[in-house]
Amino acid sequence: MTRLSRGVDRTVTIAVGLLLVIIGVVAILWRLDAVVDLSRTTDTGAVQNVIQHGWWPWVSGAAGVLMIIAGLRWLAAHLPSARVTELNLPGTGEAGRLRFNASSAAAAAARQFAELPSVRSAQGKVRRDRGQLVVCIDATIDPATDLHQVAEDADRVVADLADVMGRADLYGRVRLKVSTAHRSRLARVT
Amino acid sequence: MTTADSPGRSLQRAKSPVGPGIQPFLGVLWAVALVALGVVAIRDALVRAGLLGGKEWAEEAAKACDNLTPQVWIVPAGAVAVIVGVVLIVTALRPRPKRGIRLAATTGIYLTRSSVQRLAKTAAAAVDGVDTTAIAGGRRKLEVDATTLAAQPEVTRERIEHAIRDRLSALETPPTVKVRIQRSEDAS
Repeated sequence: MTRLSRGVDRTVTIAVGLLLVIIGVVAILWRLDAVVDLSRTTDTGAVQNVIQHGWWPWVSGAAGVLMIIAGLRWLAAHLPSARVTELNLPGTGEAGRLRFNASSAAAAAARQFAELPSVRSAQGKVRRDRGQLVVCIDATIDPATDLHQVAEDADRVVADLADVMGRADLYGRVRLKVSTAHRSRLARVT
Repeated sequence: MTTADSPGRSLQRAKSPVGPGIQPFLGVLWAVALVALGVVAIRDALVRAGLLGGKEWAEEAAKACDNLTPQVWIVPAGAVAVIVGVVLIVTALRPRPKRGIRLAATTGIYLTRSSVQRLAKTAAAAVDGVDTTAIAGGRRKLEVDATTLAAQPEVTRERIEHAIRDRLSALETPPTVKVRIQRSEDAS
């Protein structure tokens, strides 16, 4: 999802919310007869007249097609697609075509991290997140790990990766999960 | 802030991880509703053209809404609409939920909430005399319910508290730890 589609989601939700509030308030005022201008019965004659016009089905059909296209496009915007695979090498310039595979560099860093004894597994990828190009490393660590040590190791792996990638506009994030499967040190009782 | 020229630099710290929240779900809902509305509009056009049988739904709806008078049910229905509307506006304005508790480190390193609980649980379980442990909370406050076989529960309580604090000392802002302890029923 992009920032734009999040913004659209938010804006439409606010609009629908406001509409519901207005409808609710008007309905209650109508029942309580608190607004002088509201007639006691509804009249949709004007709407029915519009629908009777010869051009109505054309407008209705065209609007329908547009609504379906917009709706499908909107749905597609919710598919996860924030992954980035290739990036320009630093110093390539605007027209430069020197590219490197960012996701495999991230994956290599994750493999390096996973080799540490306290880390069980790690995956690395590059994604766009709220306007930043973020190298994400997700790792699973042992429940008995020394957190200070893991933090230090993760810092080192990320710094190495920064060296490899060489771009100043990259951001880093490491997410650690503690493994549920506990390697028990207790003697098994049978 | 690091630059490309300084040696020994690291990646800049990315924004804290956040969950998706309820917004994308609502977005999908509105998008599906829009598609459905489009289908109805096209159907109506086809009905008018004589390509489909039946009546035009837009016209039927307009007729159904004609000549209505304000019934009693309109008040609770209006109140429900206002409440739902306010809830939608509040959800839309609420920031996305935070995920992850940060470790004290140069780069952005985060633990999940359940991981912090798990670490606390392993630390507590490793204390001598501890029988069972249950952990709740995570970001700001950890609550531990433990049972012990030891004759002096108060000592065990302090040990558990100390063990968990020590275990989570690498967090940037460690949660406050509160331990409640009981003697196990079968302790003699």
